[in-house]
Amino acid sequence: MAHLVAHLEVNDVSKAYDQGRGQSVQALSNVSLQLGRGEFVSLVGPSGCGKTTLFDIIAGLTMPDRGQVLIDGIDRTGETGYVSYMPQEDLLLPWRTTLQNVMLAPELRGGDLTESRQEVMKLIDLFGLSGFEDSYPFELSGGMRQRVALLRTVMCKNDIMLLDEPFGALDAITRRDMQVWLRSVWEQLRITVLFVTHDVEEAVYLSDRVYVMSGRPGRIVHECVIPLESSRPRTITSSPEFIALRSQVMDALDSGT
Amino acid sequence: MVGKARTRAAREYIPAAVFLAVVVVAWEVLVRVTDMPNWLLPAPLRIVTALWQTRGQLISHAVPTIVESALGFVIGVVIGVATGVVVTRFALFRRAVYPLLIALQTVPTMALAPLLVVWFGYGLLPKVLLVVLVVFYPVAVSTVEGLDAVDRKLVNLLRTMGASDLQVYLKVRIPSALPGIYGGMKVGATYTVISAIVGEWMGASRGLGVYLLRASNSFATDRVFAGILAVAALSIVLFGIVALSQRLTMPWYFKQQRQREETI
Repeated sequence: MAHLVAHLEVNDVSKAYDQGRGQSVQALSNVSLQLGRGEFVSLVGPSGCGKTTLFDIIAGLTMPDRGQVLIDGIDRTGETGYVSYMPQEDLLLPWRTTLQNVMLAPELRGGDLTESRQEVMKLIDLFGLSGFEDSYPFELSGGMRQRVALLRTVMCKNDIMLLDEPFGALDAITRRDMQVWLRSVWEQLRITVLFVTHDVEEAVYLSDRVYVMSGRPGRIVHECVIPLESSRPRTITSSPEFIALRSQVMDALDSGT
Repeated sequence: MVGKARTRAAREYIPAAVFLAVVVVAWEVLVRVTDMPNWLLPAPLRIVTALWQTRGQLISHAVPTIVESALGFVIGVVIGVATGVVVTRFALFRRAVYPLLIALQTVPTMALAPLLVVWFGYGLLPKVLLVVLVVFYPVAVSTVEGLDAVDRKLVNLLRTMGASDLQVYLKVRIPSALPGIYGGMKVGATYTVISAIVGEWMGASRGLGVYLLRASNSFATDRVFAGILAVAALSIVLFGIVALSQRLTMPWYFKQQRQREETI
């Protein structure tokens, strides 16, 4: 990697869960990964490989049994507030409108909100939410709710974002649209993104690099650089280069499980 | 849209209004045909006349009852919500207080009225306290249940945003508990005025309870009914205030409900 100090580094993290009656389940085993500043990295793995546990640890919600989480080289293990976390469900507050939901993080930080509000108004178009500023979540479609949740995550103002299968609940067509859209938004914002999915095509299309995890206990079994150009039309998915990368990740996934 | 909603609402209430009218007319006819004595069962028209003739008296007796009800209701809600917050915030309080709270709910609160008179005399205080007790239990229990039912994932999300405990309560837990808290408040509201009346029966110089007792003791049954109508009206007004404030503080909730009804 070009950077001397990784933006986000997970260093040899292990975690076991107590199942009661003296039994425990190893969720993560010696997981290490690094993300450079402004890099889009995906984490692919089968269901139950501990991806969500890993995210909880990076977000500071869960303490690992062993290992550290470093941000800009500083140990932040078990500390919240350094990375923005977008969970699987949109988790929008049903009593808040689009604008109010998006303003949640600035509100929690306190201080003057006018600047944040101006920034939101600038971004709301890029997120395809113009005209829905005052709608409640139940009035929005699934794809729109995910975009509101993503904008809320962006407004957390951390330059590291963890996205946990954000498109998992969407139908196939909306999902494709959202992938193209996310890639284009990321090209403009250039935030460091760690993206969890079990859709290999989604991972290869979106990412600069893909980590492949094995089933329980979750370990990193493969790392794959995606040398496609930065700006990616949807048609790229049928290019021979893309197909080769996809089968490379697929093979790593198969051999890891 | 508004006109359509209005005709739909009218269609919904028409059967109830017609039924009520039929009952009242039947009552009037029954009393007149059987020549029922007034002290046993007065005719509706007579009750309305009594209501009108004693309106000045009724209003002056209603004032203390309204004061007791309003004070008791507000204090009961405040203490109830505060108790709910403390119980869910501090594990020790939950273990120490909550089981007792549930157990005490089975004690009929009205039965405490004589005790309150022994302790606090015949003034305003015992009546207000009785209302407070009656309102407190449903509000406290529904607040605890509402605060507990919050989505853990929402709380975690706010923590990743660096929210403090207080912020988690203000932004997520209390708003998501609001439907339950209002439910508890509505239960409390229906018992509020009657508790004030029971408090007045234990000993008071003014109040709708006093009016009812005097009318009943002098066999002026039409006035008893007039008093009952006044008590019912107060209860309905209080319930209406709670329902209205719920609509104002939770517009999203009703919008969502309406959308659900329309899709069904």
